[in-house]
Amino acid sequence: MKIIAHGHYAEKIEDALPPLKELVKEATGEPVRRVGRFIQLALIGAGRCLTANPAPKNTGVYLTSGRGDLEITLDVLEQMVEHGLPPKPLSFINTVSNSACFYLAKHFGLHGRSHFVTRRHAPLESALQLAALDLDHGSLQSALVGSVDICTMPLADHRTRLCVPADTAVGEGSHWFLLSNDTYPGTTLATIEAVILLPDKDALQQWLATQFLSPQSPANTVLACGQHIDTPTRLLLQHLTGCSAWAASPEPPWYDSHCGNTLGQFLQLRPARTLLHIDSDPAGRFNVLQVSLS
Amino acid sequence: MTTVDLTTLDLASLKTDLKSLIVVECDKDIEPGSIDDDAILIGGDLDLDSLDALQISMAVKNRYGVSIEGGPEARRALKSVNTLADTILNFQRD
Repeated sequence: MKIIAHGHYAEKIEDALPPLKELVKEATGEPVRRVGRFIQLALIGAGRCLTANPAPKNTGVYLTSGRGDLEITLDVLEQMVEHGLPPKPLSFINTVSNSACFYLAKHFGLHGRSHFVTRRHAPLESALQLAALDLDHGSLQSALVGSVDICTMPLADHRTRLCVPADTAVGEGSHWFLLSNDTYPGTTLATIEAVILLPDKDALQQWLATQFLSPQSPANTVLACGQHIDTPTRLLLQHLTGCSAWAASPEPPWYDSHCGNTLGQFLQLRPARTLLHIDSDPAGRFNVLQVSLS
Repeated sequence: MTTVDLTTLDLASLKTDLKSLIVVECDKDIEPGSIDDDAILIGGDLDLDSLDALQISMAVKNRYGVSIEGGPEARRALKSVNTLADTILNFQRD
């Protein structure tokens, strides 16, 4: 699976949520109304990805998120539960996460299939796996994969929902990648060598052992650990792989689409030939993403 | 959840209020004052559609306690700011 283009939005949120309407207009070329932050962020990230590399019309859209459209979900629940009123129609419609895909398809002229997939941990990896399946089977020639997560106010409540300490820097991000299958004839940025979910640490160690047979491998590879990897595991992974640790800089704020930020910066900064990104989840599983520059 | 006491609201104020409601609820980037009292709301120059109509109806119900039923009544009520204001005031008189 090849990466043809990428585009991003990421912002640390401190006092207030920055307005997005003008950025949406820049990304799509026209004002877009009746959408909340989640869809706005999706349009901004996807627009930046496709600016220089328009996607073929039959491109599939794979949108993912750790928590989906929290803003609209909270609005609808407050309207129904707190005020005892039916939800507003526009809010209700946008609680269907795939409605974001409608706006993406409409504004970027995409007629392929569209999917919204979600996984609390490693959402980008889940969408990449799904896209890889469709690209490998030949049912698609190209896929637009994006991972979006928004902030809601007040931030104290948001941090509680994220289950992070009160002093954690939080933010929102939208990270998009235009992918093709391996037969793509044009110029590509990188190849996604592996995107896999391993059941436990033993399986991870076994997999790593098969990847680092060549003495040159560690020197050409940087290891980036996801935000759920604790320090002992981080040190163990560095020891097992022999790779230099690498992290996006400045360190991104906490949000579920964090991996997209790391991959985006890797593609932009090119600190090594290969990126090995590993993150864990509370079930003890490991998500591995391995990407090599073209 | 009626927040506006219609007995204290004159027609001009109601129309001004309705224009702001339309701009906010339909997420239009225009000045409320730029909407003419008799401008066609749905399918006119404002480029509002049936979803906007539903959104306006719900907001009117929440703000003024006036239900706009579907079908011909809704089409009549949502024709313009004038007809919407008349619908609200007539509901109060009835």
